[in-house]
Amino acid sequence: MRNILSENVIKQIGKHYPDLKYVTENEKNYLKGSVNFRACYNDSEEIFIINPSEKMLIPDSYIDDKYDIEIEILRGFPKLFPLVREVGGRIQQIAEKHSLKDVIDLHINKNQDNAICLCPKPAEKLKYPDKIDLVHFMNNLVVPFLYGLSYYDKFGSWPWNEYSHGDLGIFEFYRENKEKNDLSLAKRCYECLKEKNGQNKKYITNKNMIKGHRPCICGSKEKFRKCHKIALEGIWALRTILNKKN
Amino acid sequence: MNMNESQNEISMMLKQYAEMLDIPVSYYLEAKKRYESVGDWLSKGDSTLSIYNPEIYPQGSFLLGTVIKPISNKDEYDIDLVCLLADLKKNDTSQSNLKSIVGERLKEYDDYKRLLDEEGRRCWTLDYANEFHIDILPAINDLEFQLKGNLYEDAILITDKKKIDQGDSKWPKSNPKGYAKWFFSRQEIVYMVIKKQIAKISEKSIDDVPDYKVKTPLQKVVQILKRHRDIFFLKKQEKYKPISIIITTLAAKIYQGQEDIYTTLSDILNGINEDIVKQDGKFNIPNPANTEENFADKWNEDKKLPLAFFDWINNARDTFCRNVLKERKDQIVGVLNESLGIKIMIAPELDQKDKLPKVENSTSPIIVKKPSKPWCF
Repeated sequence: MRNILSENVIKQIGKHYPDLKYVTENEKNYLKGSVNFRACYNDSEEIFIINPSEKMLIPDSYIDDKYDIEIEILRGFPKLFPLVREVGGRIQQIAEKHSLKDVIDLHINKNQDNAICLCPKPAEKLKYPDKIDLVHFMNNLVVPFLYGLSYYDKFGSWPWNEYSHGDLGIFEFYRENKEKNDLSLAKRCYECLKEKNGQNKKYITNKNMIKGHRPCICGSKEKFRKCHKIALEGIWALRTILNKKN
Repeated sequence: MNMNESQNEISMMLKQYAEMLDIPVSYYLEAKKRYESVGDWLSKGDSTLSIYNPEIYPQGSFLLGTVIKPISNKDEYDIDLVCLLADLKKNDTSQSNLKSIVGERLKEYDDYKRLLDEEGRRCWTLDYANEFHIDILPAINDLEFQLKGNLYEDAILITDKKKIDQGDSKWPKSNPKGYAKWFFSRQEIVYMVIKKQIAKISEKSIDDVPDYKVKTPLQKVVQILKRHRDIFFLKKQEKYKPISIIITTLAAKIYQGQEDIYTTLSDILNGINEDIVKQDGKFNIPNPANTEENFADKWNEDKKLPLAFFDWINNARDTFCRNVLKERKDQIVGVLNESLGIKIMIAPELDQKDKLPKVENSTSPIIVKKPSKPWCF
């Protein structure tokens, strides 16, 4: 079976992540092994630093950790996102330690055999409009996520903000990117709305805009604008851009 | 970054801040619906006030287009509404009578009765908990002042419970429409330019562009300064916080129609000095729509007020004039974010790629700006 990763990419990975090996198993392509990182996070400037030098070090947030992972490279690579899974049992450990009912709270997608949701689906094309650079993918998405797990393990919270689950997260994501006025991004967000069999799409297409004092669509009895304010604004923003053309 | 580039980038950032500070359109439209309903109740149908030909209109930041979001989600928007009984003559009524007939009419509607706060000094307040509260100010025409014409055409007389209780029956004066007329005259040309631009982009006629969609650099700067003040005084004594009308008046006075927001902000901050707030050795910021009124009268009674004001102005100069001279954009934004209590998104520095260490070996530091926020189905 043809190698899906070029010699060059395998070499690059070998340089930066020497403990990951390229393997083929059951006609699927993987990078398997471990990732060892040292990193810290500058909260006020929102900068994540891998291998911080002495000057850059922020002791309170410094973490040195290691994870056993597998990265499934799909046939559609380098256009399609690889699936990343933690296979050393850490996720389970962290979930138990913090009494989490479901690993979904650590952004694990059970429908993809416990793959990690590194970012909202519509963001994938935004981050890599053309081809996915695997080393960049590791540095910018995978390692920060693993750092987040270790941080959560230690402190009980994610080091930076997380999106809400499901469609609410998509609305929040669009709200944060609405200034881009990117119609294709808006369409992708709309297409990704899956909850309740795509029922949430009606908030975009309905003639009347949903008001902030209505009960939140997450099911809490709170007013939408108090409960998931950013998601609400995301719905309004999506309506604005998508309904303009129709 | 060279000066022109950096000025443009700072202006872009300031525009983002101003946009994030503004009342969201949906809230604005809801507020407008609410106060128009209140207006209808007071003036239309079988209202007991209809014989006086009531005119209901907003005043303050809603009229001037300088509303900013409250700091916390728990705070509310303040809407000021004037309830002018146009045909009620001063000689046919008294301050207490005027105040009470407006209050009585409000109480006749059960919903408003439920929302009505305790009687205020000058107004009645409807409290829509966690959303808005609407201050309704009963008023009559100040026919004497209106004779002066121009900015005084809509001058009004209002009521003051405190003074009445003290035995003072002199009617306090106010002129919100006159003030707004003056404020808009300070930005007339830029306002039309922006309105035309919006009309062009949205393919509408100029008349179809609603006023709330137009924001001039002056309005945005007033919003930014108000918010900067709010955050600055969070850690200090709130009673010394400079009042918004002073900030608005000084900004509008100094403004000369600049089209760039950064230039507007720095010109205004540099233009505020002791001279502009004093006259004949005393603190005096006259109301352009009623020169007898001095917005800074209390500054002459308590020296801590002008001290707090200049303390804040110095800090604002630091934030917006000195801080922006720094080399790194992320440092500039860090300070702005903190002083305004908002985080904006900035495009990564274009030349940052060159500054990042070449990753030859895997132990060089790797910088990731704004790491991805995780999500799940």
